[in-house]
Amino acid sequence: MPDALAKRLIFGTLVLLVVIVLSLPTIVVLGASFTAGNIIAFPPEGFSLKWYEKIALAADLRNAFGRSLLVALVCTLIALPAGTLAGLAFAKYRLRFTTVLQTYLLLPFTVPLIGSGIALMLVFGQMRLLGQVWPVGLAACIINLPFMIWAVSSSALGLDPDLEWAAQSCGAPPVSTFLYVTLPAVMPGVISGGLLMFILALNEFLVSLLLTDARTVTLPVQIYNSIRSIITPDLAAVSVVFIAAAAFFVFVLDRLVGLDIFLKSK
Amino acid sequence: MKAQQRGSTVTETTTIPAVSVRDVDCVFGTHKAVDGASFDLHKGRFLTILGPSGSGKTTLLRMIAGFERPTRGAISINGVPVGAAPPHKRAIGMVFQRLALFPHMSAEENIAFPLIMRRFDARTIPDRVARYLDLVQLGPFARRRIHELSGGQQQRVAIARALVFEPDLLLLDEPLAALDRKLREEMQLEFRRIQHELGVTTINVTHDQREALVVSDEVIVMDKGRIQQMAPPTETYRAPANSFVAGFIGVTNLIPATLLTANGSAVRVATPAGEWPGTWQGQTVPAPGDGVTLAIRAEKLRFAPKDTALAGVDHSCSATVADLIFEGERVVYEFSLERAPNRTIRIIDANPAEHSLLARGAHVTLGFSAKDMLVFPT
Repeated sequence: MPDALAKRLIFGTLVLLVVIVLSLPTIVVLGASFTAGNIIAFPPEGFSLKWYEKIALAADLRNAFGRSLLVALVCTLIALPAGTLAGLAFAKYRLRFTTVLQTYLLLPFTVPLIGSGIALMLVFGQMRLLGQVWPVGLAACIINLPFMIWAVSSSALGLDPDLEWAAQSCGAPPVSTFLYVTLPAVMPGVISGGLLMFILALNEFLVSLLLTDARTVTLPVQIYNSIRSIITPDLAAVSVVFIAAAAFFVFVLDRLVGLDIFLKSK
Repeated sequence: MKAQQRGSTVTETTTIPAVSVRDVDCVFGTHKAVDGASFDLHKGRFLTILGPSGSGKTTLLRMIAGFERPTRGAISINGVPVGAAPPHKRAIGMVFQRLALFPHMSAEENIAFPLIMRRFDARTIPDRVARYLDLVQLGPFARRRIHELSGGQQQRVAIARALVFEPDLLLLDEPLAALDRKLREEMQLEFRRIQHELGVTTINVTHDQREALVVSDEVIVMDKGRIQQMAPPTETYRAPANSFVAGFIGVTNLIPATLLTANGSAVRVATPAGEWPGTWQGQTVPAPGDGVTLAIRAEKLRFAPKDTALAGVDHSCSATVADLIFEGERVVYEFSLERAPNRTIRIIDANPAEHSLLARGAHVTLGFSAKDMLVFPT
C-alpha cells in the first residue's frame, strides 16, 4: 500500500512537472498580452485589452494574417488530393521502390528546413514565382506532405482489405467504389491530415522567411520582423491569437473525427 | 441409394449447370494455386469447398467471383462463360472472410448499396431492404452503424447485403471462421435456413469439416490445388476417394503398409503390427509389393478387455491403453499396439456411460471388419 502511494506520488509529480513545462510559455504569453504597461512582462502590470485593439487596427498585421490564411488554404487544397491518393497507394498496393519512396517522403524531415527553404527559393526564383503568395503555400505543402500521407495511410491500413472487392461484388464499378466506399472509409484520416496541413502551413516560419518579401510577408515572418525592431506586448497578443487559432482547429478536429482516433493514427 | 443418386445426376446434367468450372489453373509465379479444377454445380445446390489452408480453395472461389483470373480453363455461370468480366458485372453476391461491411454506413445503407449500384428502381429499394432485414431478423437494428452491432448481427448484415439483389450465385469465403463455436454453429444453421428459403445456388469455402458436412448438399475436398473428391457429404464420409480425404474428414487412423496379396478388392497387407485384411479402394488393380495407406475411422474399430472375445470382427490384435480423452458425450482412446508400440490407434467410444472407462495401461483386444479397413494406393 505505501508502495502504491509512493508510486502515485512520484508519477503525479512527474506529470505535473511536464504539464507545467509544456504550458508555461503559453501561460506567460497569454498573461503578457493583457498587460496595461508598454513592455512585455510577466506577471503583467495591470489588465487591459489595448494591445489587442492595437493589433486589430494594425493593417500590416491584418494583411499578413490574411496572407497566412491564403498560404494555409493553398497548402491544404494541394495536399488533400495529393496526400489522399498517395496515402491510399502506400496502404493498398505493394509498390515497387516502396522503401525508396518512403525515404524520399521523409526527406523534408531529415533535411534541415533551412536547406529545403534555400532549395525552394532557388527553384521558385528560377521559375520567377517569388513575390507571390501562393508559392509559399505550395512550399508548405511540399515540406509537410508526409503528415498528410501518414494520416491517410494509417486510416486506410485499418480497413478490411476486402472492402473494395466487397463494393465490386455489390456491383460498383471502380470509380463508384472509390467515391462511395474507399474515400468515405478513410475520411477520418483525410480530415485530420487536412487540418494538420492547414495548421502547419498557417504557422510555417522558416521557409516562408526565405520565400517572402515585404509585399508577401506572412504573419509568423511579420512577427519576427517586429521582434527585431522593438518588442512590445502587441506581439504577445498576436501570439495568443495564433494559439487560439490552433486550439480552434484542434477543437474542430476533435468534433469531426475524435482526437483519440487522430492521436492513434500517428 | 447409390443407383438413385446416379439417376438424378443424369436428369440434372440435361439442364444447364449454375456454375461450370472446366480445367481451371491459377498460377502465381511458379506456384500453381489451383491445378486442373473441373466441376459442375446445379441450380439451388449448396456446395462446400473444404480443404486445409493453402489448398487453393479460396483462389478457386475468387476466380468464380472474378477477383482472380484463371491462367487456363473456363468458368461459366448459367451457361454463359464469364471469361474476363470484372466482378461488378457478374451477378454474384459474396460474404467475405472479415465481412468487409462499409464502416461509414448503417446496416440498412449497407444492404441498400448493391441495389443502388445495380440501378434498381429507387421506389422499390426501401421495401426490398426491409424485406431482407426481416429475413435475417435485423429489423430493429436497421439504423445502427456497423460497429454498434454484435458479431452475429454483422454476419447477418453481410448475408443480407450479398442476397438483396437476388444474385445468380452466393459465395461464402469462410465468413464463420472468426466466430466462437456456439455462434458459428448457430450461423451454419442460419445459412442453411436462408439458402433453403431462397433456393440460391451457394458455394461456401471452409476448413471446418463439421461445417462442410452440416450445411452442404455437395462437398469438394481440395488439397495442393487439386480437387480430391466431389460428392454429397455422406458419400465423402463413407467412401473417401483417397487417403487424403479419408484423413481430412472425421477422426481417422492412417497406417502405412505394403500390399501382400489381392483377390478382387479383398487384399491382405503387411503392417508394422502384422498381416491385416482390408478392402482395396484404388482405381487401379492392386499389385503385390506396392506401398499402400490404410485408413480406418476411429468409430469403426472395436475393443474389449483382454481375453474377451470380440464378435463379428475379421481381425483382432492386442494393445494397451496409452491415453484417453474424456469429451463428455464420447471418449477418445489412444491405444498402442503390442507388436508396434510406437503406433497409436485412436478409437472413439460413443457410449461411455454404458460401461466403466478403461485405465491407462489396461490390456485390450482391438478388432475390425475387413470392409472398414480401407486400403488406398500411396
